[in-house]
Amino acid sequence: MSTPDGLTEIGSQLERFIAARMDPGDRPVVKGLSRVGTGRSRENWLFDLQWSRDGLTRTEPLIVRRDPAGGLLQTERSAEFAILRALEPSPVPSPPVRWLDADGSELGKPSLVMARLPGACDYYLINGDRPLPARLDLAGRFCDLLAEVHLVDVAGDTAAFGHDPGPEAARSELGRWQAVVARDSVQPYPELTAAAHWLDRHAPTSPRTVLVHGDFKPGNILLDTDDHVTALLDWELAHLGDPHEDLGWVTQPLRTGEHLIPGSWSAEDLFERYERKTGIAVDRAAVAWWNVFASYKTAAMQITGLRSFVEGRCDEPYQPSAPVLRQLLDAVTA
Amino acid sequence: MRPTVGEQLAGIDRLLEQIGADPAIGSESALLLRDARRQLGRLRGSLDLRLPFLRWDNAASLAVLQAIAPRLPADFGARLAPLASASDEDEHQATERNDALRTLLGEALDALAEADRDTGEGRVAHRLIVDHLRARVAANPALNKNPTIPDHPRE
Repeated sequence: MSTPDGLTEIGSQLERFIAARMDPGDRPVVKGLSRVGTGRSRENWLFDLQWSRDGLTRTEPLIVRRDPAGGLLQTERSAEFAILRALEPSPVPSPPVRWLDADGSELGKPSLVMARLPGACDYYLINGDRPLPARLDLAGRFCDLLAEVHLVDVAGDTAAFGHDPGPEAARSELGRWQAVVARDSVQPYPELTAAAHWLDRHAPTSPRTVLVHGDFKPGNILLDTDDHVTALLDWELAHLGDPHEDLGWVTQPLRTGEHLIPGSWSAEDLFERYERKTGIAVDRAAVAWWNVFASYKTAAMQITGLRSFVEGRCDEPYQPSAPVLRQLLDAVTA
Repeated sequence: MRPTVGEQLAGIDRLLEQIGADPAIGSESALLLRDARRQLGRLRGSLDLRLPFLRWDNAASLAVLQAIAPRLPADFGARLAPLASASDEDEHQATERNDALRTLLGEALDALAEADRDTGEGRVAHRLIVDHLRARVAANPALNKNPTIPDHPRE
């Protein structure tokens, strides 16, 4: 909470944390600290870091992402930090990371500090107020951005990107989210049992390993005032896997309003542009499986959110929603 | 007993409305207050339907499990028997019974997946469960503004 006391405490923690990582004479000062309400899985705090060196005062806008007490996700800041650092030399626009407090021993909770880039995110930009040609241009460029992520050279860099599940990426991700359901369920969900059986029986094999963003959406794309992409944000779910996973996420029926334009930019348009950009053939049947998986993953996150609420660690009473459960049950009986 | 729980929740909502009307309230507090009133609204909307929903779901789940019991491992019937006579007297009891029945539905799906999901009878049993789960989603007052709880439990 951004109470004055909380601000003071976090500001002091940040100054000590950063001072320990800069030259002794820099005397870093945290200015204008404020919490922003965006992002349901992390606490995001904005501030300007001011320090002196060689007689000059310098300022850098930064953001610290701290684990919240509870929410929709439990992920590792160290994994996100490693991926962001590995992306810095790549063409993918991403925020440069500065420092990591992996265990929260210095900043109270696991946290990473990174550059604050200009711009704003808008979940529903693609179907917003801009004229259709401008929205189509954005939709195409967002597709190209996803292609750039999938073209990142990840060969052999398991230290940064983690385990390569190879052709079994689908079952690997299914197992990962089944474990979340098992860990966080506060009541039985036979709907998810039925869905997991279906997903397991129909899991496709991955044609190649790419860097999967895991939550690709306009709400995570930072645009400046000229509509240039300054950064793709929220890499906490990124991992190595099947390129169809992100394609299934962006074309899942429950989120078409974020990614597709009725009558003008269909899933097929997206696939064709993606294929031209990447040279990766899109298997439509595999995307359909990942569409169902997207609902399962969403339900798993909602279950984590419900446990957080029940345990008093978050204020929103999440639970698997009716549309998500219907999507899963429809798939099971299709 | 008056005021009822619903009437008391309505009273709390009126108090929160008054707090929200105070122009001195901060923007973050206003957002928290909006969320609190939204949650309260959901609770008021579903409160009276929770117990009827649980009773219907328990009866329907039991009926499905009894119908498919011959397709399931032998110990299933023994675990189902006490749930057939368990009480739905209040929401706490109904919730406990609901959790137990839904656990069995999940285990039944596991058993069918391992055994005879691909046989005609296995498919029918699977379909019975999934059809019920779909009806439950539509009937759940915690998930719908206008839930459709069937009139007659099959118990």
